[in-house]
Amino acid sequence: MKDDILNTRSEELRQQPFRVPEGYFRKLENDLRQLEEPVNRGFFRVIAPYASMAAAFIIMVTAGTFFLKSTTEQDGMTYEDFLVHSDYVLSESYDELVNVVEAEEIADEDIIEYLIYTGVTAEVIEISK
Amino acid sequence: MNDKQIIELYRSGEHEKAFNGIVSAYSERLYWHIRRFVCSHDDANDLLQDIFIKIWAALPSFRGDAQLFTWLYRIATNEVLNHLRKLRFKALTSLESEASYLERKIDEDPYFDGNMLQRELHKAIRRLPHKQRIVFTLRYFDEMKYEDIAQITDTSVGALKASYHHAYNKIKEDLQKVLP
Repeated sequence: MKDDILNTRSEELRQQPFRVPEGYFRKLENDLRQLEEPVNRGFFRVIAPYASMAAAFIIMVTAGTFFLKSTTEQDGMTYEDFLVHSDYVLSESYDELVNVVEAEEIADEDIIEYLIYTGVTAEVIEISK
Repeated sequence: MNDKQIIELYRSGEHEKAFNGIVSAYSERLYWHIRRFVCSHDDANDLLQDIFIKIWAALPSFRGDAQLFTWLYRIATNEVLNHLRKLRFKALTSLESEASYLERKIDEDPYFDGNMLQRELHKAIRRLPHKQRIVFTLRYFDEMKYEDIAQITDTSVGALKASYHHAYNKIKEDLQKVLP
C-alpha cells in the first residue's frame, strides 16, 4: 500500500509555491485604501454620462441662441442702418422713407395743399389757420 | 487591529478607518486565498480589487452575527466562484477545458516557485469540482474549522466533511500517479 503523500509530505506541500512581485503587498494596501474614494463617488459615476450630455445640450442651446441673436439683433441699430441692411426694402422706397424720417417739420403750405387735395373747403382751412 | 476593534470603529461611525483596518488585516490573507484558485497573479490582483469594492459596499449590511473573517472570506469565495464559473462558460466555446486552462496557467506562471510535487498538487486541485476545491483549500492549507467553512460556503458540516474526503482521495491518487 502506497503512503498517504498528502500527510507524509504535508509540510512541504502546504508551503506557498506562488510568489508576488517585489513590494506588491505594500502597494496593494495603498491601492485598496484609495478604493474608498471611487466607491463613495458611485452615485456621481452613475450620473456623470447623463450630466455631461445635459451640459453639452445646454451649451449648444446657449451658443445657438447667442448666434441667432447676434445675427438678427436690431437694438442698437439706427432705423437707417436697418433699412440699409435690409434686403427687402427697394432703393426707391428707401429714399422716400429716409426723406420722411429726416423731415423735422412739415411746412404750412404742404398742409394746405394736402387739405385742398382731400376736398376740405377754403372756409374750414381759413378757420383752422 | 483585530476584528473586534474594526467592528467597534465601524459602529462608532469611523467607516474609512474600519475599512483601512480590514485592508491591513486581510488584504494579504485574502490575496493568498484567491491566488490558490486563479493561479495568475494579475487575475488574483484584479479579483482582489473587486472583492474590496464589494466589501466596502456591503460593510453597512454587516450585522456582527457572523465573525468578520468568515464574512470577508464568504465575499471573497463567492467572487472566486463567479470567476471560475465565467472560466467554465468560456471553456464551453473553446477547445480547452477550464481545468486544462488553469493547469496551463500554472506552467506558464512566472511567479510559481514550487517543486514538481507542489506543481502537481496545485494542478490536481484545479481538476476538482468547484465546491471540493474550496473545501480542500480552506481545510488543507488554512486548516480552517469545518464550522467556519460551513459559514463561508453556506453548506452543512456533514456535507463539507464528505466533500473534503472525496477531494483528499482524488488528489492523493493523482499525486501517486506522478510520483516515481
